[in-house]
Amino acid sequence: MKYRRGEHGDAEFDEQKEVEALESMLAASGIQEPHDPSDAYWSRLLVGTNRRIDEATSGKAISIAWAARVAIPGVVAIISFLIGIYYYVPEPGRHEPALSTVVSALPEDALDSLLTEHASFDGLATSIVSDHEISDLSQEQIADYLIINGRTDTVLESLSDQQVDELIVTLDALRD
Amino acid sequence: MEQVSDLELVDEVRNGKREAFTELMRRHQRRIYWVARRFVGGHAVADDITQETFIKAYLGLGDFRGDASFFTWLYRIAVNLSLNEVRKQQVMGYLRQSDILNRLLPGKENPGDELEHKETESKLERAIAQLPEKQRAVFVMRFYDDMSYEEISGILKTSIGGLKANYHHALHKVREFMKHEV
Repeated sequence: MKYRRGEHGDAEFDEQKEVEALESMLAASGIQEPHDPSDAYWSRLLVGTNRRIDEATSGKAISIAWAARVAIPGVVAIISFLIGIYYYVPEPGRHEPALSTVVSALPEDALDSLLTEHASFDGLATSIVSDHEISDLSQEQIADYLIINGRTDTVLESLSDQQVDELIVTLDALRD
Repeated sequence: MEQVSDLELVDEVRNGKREAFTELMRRHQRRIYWVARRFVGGHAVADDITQETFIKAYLGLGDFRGDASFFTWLYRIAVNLSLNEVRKQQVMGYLRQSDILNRLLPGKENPGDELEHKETESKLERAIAQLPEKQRAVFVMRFYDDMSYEEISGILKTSIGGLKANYHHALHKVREFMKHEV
């Protein structure tokens, strides 16, 4: 394993000394990095990556991948959402404080992204966005619904880097 | 036989020779994997990031102008993907702290799995995982990958002074963490 030895000598703190101290500690404790994966793994990695490149560059495969990974879950999410909205009316004050706190920290964009992401695949976009009842729901109600139905992972996946950064800042503030 | 350079292979890929890209992957996949592994601290995610890095590189080969080496370009992609993953893990970490993860992601992970995973995880990986994003980045790039502050600065778009401070804190924190773990 190759550890940095600070040979550039351009650090203002005594970098070499600190690095050596850490190296000594690691050596003395016998702590090692995880083992390098086997040769078979590297071969499989090549094959797997090539296959994914093929998928990414093939129009047909893109359609299949898109349907499997995005469109179908999207439609399922929309249907679940509509059914949920029909049957579920969140009652303020009935939720656990931790849940409400974290959920309310989600930026509006994060919540909206789920709707827009899934809705953009088909004509349901119009019906969702213009649905009078849905538009009457508060951000907290939408967030509660999404979380209770386990869609937060989808929300997180759909966030932009900037949104994730904003979320982290907001959550940091809450934690402090 | 003289080895073909990365740039020559890139040209071959651009001319439609797909096997040339396989050769580029063969040359660099190990280092890219370890960059990702050290950033994110787990094999499965590192594996995925490694693949994503090469897919992104293949699809974006037109953007590679050759100003830096092919590996540096690849490395930058891997770092950015890793940082994105670290940020997402950070958000998930907050949600775990709020003890609502199991409600959010039913069936995706359970506490038993997580415990088992933690036990097999390297102590060093855990030490690195507790570092804030920027400290983690500079630690991985300098301690393991022997990069100069100038190179790191070019990738992370952070001042050299800031990088030095981050590295200093990172070294200290990893040492302290190891002291308590050992």
